[in-house]
Amino acid sequence: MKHHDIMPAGQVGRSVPRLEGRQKVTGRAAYTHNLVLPGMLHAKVFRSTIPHGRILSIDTSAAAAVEGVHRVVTGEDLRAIVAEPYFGPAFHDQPALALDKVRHIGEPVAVVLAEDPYIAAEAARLIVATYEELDAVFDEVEAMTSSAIVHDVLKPAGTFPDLKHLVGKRDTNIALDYQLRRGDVDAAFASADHVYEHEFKSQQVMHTPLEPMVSLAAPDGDGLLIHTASQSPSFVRIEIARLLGWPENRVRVKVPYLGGGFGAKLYIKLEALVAILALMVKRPVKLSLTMEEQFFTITKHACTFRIKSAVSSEGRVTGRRCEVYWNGGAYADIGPRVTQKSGFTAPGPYDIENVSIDSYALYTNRPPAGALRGFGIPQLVWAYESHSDMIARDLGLDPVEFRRKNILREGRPHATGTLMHDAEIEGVLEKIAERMNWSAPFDRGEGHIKRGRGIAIAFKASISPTTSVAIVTIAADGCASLAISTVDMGQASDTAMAQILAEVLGLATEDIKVIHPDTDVTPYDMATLGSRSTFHMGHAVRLAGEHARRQLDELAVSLGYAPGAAYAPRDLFKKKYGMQAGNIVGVGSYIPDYTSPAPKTGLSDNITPFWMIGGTGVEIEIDTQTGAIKVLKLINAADLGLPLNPKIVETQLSGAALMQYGFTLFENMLFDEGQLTNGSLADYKIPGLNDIPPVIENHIVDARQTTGPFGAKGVGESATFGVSPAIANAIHDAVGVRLTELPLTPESIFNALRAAKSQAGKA
Amino acid sequence: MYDFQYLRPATVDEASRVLATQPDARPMSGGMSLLPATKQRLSHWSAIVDLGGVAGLDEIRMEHGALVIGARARHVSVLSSSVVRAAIPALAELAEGIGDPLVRNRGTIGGSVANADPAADYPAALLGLGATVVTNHREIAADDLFTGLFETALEAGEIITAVRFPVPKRAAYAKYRHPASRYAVVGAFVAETAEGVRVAVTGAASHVFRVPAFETALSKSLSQDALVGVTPAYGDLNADLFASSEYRAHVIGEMVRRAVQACLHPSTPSRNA
Amino acid sequence: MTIPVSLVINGKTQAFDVGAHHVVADVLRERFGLTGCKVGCDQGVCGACTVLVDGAPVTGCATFMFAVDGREVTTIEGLGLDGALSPVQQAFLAAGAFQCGFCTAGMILSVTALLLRDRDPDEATIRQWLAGNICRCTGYNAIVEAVRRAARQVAEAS
Repeated sequence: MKHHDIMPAGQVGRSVPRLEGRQKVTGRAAYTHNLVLPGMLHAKVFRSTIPHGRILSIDTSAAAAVEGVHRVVTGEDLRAIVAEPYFGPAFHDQPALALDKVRHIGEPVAVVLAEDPYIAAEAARLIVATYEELDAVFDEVEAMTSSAIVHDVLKPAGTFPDLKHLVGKRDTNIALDYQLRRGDVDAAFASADHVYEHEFKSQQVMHTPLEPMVSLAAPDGDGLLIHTASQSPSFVRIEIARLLGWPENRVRVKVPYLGGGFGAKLYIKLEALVAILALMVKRPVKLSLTMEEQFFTITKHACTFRIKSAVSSEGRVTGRRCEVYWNGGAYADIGPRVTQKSGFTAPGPYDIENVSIDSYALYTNRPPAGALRGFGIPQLVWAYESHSDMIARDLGLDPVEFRRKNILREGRPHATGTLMHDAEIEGVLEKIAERMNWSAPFDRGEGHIKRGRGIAIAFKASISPTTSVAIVTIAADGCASLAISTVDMGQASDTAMAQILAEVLGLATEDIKVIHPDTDVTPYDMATLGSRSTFHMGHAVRLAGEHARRQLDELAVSLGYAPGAAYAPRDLFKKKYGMQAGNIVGVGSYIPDYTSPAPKTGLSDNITPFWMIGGTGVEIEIDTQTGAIKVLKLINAADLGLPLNPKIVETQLSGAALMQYGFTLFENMLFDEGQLTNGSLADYKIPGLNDIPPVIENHIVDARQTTGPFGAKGVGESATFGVSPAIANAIHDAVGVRLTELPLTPESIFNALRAAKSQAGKA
Repeated sequence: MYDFQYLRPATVDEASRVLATQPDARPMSGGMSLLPATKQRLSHWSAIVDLGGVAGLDEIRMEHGALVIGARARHVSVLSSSVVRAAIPALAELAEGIGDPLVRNRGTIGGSVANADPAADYPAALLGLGATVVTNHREIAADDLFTGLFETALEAGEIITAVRFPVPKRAAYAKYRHPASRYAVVGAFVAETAEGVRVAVTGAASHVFRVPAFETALSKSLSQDALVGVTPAYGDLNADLFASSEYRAHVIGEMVRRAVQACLHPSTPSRNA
Repeated sequence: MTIPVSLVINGKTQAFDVGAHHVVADVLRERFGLTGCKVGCDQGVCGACTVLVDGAPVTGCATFMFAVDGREVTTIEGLGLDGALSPVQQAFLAAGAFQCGFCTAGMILSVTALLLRDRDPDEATIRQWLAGNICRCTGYNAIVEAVRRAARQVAEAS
């Protein structure tokens, strides 16, 4: 083993190759997908075929009679282990298997256990359930007033103080209503030179991590060991312990690498079911979803956004009203947090005196929606940046110029009242304009091929207040191990966190061992989500490293070294213990300052520890004969503070942008009366190499997060923000039609062109 | 997935006997459609009769001036065959546009034709070129083969051994592909043959069909101008959540126009609409 | 029913019985522990389960085991010699052409097959060839760079 006792700093900011790279190119990296335990049973779920109804009967006899079936379990059977098997991060509304009612097609109703997964799957097909069908509601706006009520009583989890007022509320589908009032928006409209009002819709889509969700639970002494492809091992432990009425230390959660997450594998998904099943049959139980089943498990919110602006004749926005309706599906998951945390950024990164926001989380009879890369921001940006262009064009203003007039600048108050700091909105806008060569003449195409270009900029607040804890152990030879519950799902958190620790300790990044989440060993972390790890866990790791370093320094002084003198840690251990022995353990815990929004006004002077800024510019061409669209150039820019690892940051930017590109152009969960009709990758299109723009640029804007670890902040989502409206704005630029619903399909473009033509014919 | 019987006959006759006597047995060529369908439980069979053991069904050759492609010729063999490229380049290009390399490495022409997927590419070529399907029992004109959604005139125990394509003066295929499956939302095959111009459309209805209005117009003059003002009346076109029937009708006209363009100027790309 | 098959897996001849309904990906993973082959979509669409059969890329989840009887199957575990990385693996590592890693083995095998056929593929060829290998993470730029890098490496080595 190499000993890098004293290394020059410079670990941070270096494009260190991924620590796990070799394991991944040789196919040997560990995933829960691969895990097999002795005596393990495979679970296969039988799912609801109706969108809303009371369960009358479940006949499992034929399934149970299949040779090789170990057991068939229904929701009522689970009550033998957990009397109230309901889980969820915001509401305790989701049963591990349906109880009394089903609330969406695809909801788990029963489960077959067998040693052979083929047999489990075949037997599950033999289960027969009967229901009394109830009226269903699918649309988020209709859910506001529908007589179809998805949950008879609201059951907030109590985790979040601002949901407490909803306890026990009946006869409503509104899981959360967030409001913000700033200035006098009615007066602004009354005195405005121009008022613009538009409605935008975005569709339900799915994360489609290539490793479908998978969890495995095994009895472990008097406790439980859960191996799971989860982004939030600490939450899983707490929630399973709550369900079982156990102390946290009887539940051990282990997470290896994830084959993608994107928000799909957050909080608690399959873990409650496998945990209860494992305790029931006293054997390990593995549940591996198929790609189709993932579509029934978690999705991205469909959304309707009504936006209205008061604008002066010079093009200054003086007032804005936002009404946002989030289609949360049958179970709240983290939807109420999306509603609030994203809701307060609905007016966009603009300096507007008078603002009113109403943001509603709604239950419907669709598959549940939760967090997906951007946590609601892309749905909002889709609306407000399309709206920006519509205003600019109507006023005859250049879209970039219009934004220059209105953006939030350093030190100005955001709608919540929080003053903007370290938010390079201007830098992102100007970088895109520069890379698009915006002020130069633009080739508009010829014949039936028309060209256009568009831009969009946006921002996002970080989730707050959340906690991260890190433990670093220095061994007697001077090497370091880092125990953290951050999940590396591809974003390279192992590498980034090792870089931070290496920088603090003066070691080489490659020599740091990062211990993967194992709640018996790795300390608490809120979750790997919302681009929070770099900032929050980054600080915790920095603090842990500094703590260890301080102890080493003190040890050195106690052993006779002059204060500040150089030393090799291994010499300290040897001198202290007389042999290679002992450890130094450094601990770091971090939670940023935060002020909750006031209940009535939604205002806060400290709404987020940092802002993420992202923007996109595109050049496109449209074939007016078919509506076919080609994106020729996709330029992304982001303020992510100082990049810890520029190369890895670049793949984060391009990956995020390409994901939203799929959500913009073709991805769409298509429903027929609540029945998903394209729940397979053969029918649900995600971008392939053949679909992507020939030119993709990713730019890191010069910036520094003064409060971040080594000037850094999160980056996982920033490049998703602007993609959809940039493309819609470019379509309008090319052919003069405005689309207000995602996705932007050839047929929708073609129909808009035809409608515009017939309109022009009439005029 | 469930268990079934597996049979691997060495001759066409043997395969035919099994298929004729076991109504729930299913022949398998490349298996590209059969396996996903089995997993999704779209169909259920007692036995799979693997034609992979039957020798000599994958030959590609010229015979009496016609191009003959063995039923088990894989898409990758067709697209890379110098014989096909020389005789009917449009057919090689069509094969090149099927699915992705992983599909083309295993899928076969016989499997695709017998499966009669409404959005498959090959049926457009068969109908557009006026091909003849050779089976172990008889010869069937392409015009008589495709009868409905996943339905053909093939009888129980009847196995395709080859497809015989007359060589056209010129031909081209234009396809508007589904972004996910890469199947044809609309595919149009246009061929100028000894008997006039033939236009076949796949992806747009329950099965591949010809468009007489376009054929008449193009037989007078194979040009884009000849299409102006021609608005065929279609029967039931597919309407799904991806494309409405109105949009499909429009795209048929556009794909036919592009195929004509490609006939006239073979260097212009027509496949990736 | 069970069927006897005999094939070469990563250079070693293996003879055994399989169920008629067993597919290549499951057998490689469960029987031989070759878990580099991943099952993603399970419909032959995403390419995570790509393996080479006689040097050609094939989706392991959409291929019956009986169909590879007598053939030569190569998985990611069969690339490289004596623990050294193959040129394509090296190129993916150097280009940072992966994030979560779930598609990586299939991607590397597809590229390996491509470079056997075309030692200097242009961008259009690369895009066409890899159309059946989906990556949800990277945005593909780094993957194209890795293919170019691997092509250079192969050219230099020969």
